[in-house]
Amino acid sequence: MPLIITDTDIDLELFMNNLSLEDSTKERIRNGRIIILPEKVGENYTIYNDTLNLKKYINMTQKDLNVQICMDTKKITTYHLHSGDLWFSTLYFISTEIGLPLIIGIISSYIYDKLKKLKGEAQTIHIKIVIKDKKKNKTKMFSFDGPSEDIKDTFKKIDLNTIFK
Amino acid sequence: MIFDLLSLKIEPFYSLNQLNVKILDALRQFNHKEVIEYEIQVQSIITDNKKISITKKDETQANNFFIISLYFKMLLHYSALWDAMRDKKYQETWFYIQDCNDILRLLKNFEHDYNNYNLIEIEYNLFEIEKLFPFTFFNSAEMICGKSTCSICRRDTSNPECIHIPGELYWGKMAQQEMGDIKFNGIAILRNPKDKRCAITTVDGKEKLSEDNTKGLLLLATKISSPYYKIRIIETKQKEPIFKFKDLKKDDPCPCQSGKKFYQCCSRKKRIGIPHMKIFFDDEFKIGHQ
Repeated sequence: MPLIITDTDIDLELFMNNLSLEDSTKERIRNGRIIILPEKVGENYTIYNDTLNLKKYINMTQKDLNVQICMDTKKITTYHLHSGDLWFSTLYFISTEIGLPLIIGIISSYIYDKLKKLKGEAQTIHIKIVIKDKKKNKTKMFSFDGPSEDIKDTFKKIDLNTIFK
Repeated sequence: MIFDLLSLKIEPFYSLNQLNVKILDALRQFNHKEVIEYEIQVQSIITDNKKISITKKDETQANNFFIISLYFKMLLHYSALWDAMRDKKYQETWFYIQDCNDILRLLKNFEHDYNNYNLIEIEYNLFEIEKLFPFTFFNSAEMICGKSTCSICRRDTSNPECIHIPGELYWGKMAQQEMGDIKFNGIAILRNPKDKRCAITTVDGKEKLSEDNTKGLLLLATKISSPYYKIRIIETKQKEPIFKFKDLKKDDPCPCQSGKKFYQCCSRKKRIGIPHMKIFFDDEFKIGHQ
């Protein structure tokens, strides 16, 4: 199965504290509707480069979706794997703020519009989406590792009401 | 879009179209020298006219010139790959295939009539030609970059004021990330890299370009009479009688290319299936309006 759903204890405030972010950065992140969480590579935190381009694509196509990177602006580094696969850093949001289908729709459009593949090229996506349900105080992680053309249909079957029951 | 513009009877498109006809004709005859000469003229016309479009504050037209320029560069690389292949320079041929693929990927993003213009036939031909190479593993760098500058506005790409998306066109230029402060984490060996130029040779040397494993390329270069033929390569197994392999030792790799030793694989069979490729030339295709 390309999609694995698990419980997670990721908490944005704790995450920001662990990274010892500046107060102004924390404020900027709290105002964001989608937060990009960096990965720990070795001793440092960094974001997959494809995520930075996805952020710009969202800013261009969905201006009301404020996307923020959970890092101090001057300390942002990008992680490059140079594989044919597409690696995205974790996207975090609150379930009442944005619908999951909207996010998946944007990701699929970005891949379809901007990352055309040629005959014989396989394109596997690796992405984690963390959704917090404030009412039920639960957080779920959706890890997708599969062909780019499958992401939309795979997530279409997800009903957040059932998952957060 | 490209051929709609080239079919206009106004300058500079009229001149570009004339050169396009000449390039396609020279390419048909595998005359790479002529293709280069015409290409220089094309790029000079495009550069001049892109500047004029920018002066006239016509961003769309400047971007159109960028896309037309990509199309002509792709033809140049397509011509170069046949020239290299006919010259038995197979490593260079591989690089030219990758150059063509890089441009085709961009054209696919920018050109809505990509399929109608038969650019897809070139893409399919490149895919088929790649099958004739022995490469399956590639090196790929893993790195962390501390600095990323936008090629358009020179701001840091993570700066919210930089609105340029890499791969998008702005005033006849494509936005790119210029990476700095690079720390290499490692090198991975992949089957599916972003860039297939760094093909690696396996320890047993099976994937090294040798006379033995480039026979298909030699055959293709000798038999094809025009680069516009649709190439189809079918991988089959040809059964060979066991006596043909009587000189093989027990520990030699099996000729069926299973990766096993001969003794553990086909040594007791009467006939061994040897990987075999058949090259077919289907109909000729025509680039541009159909």
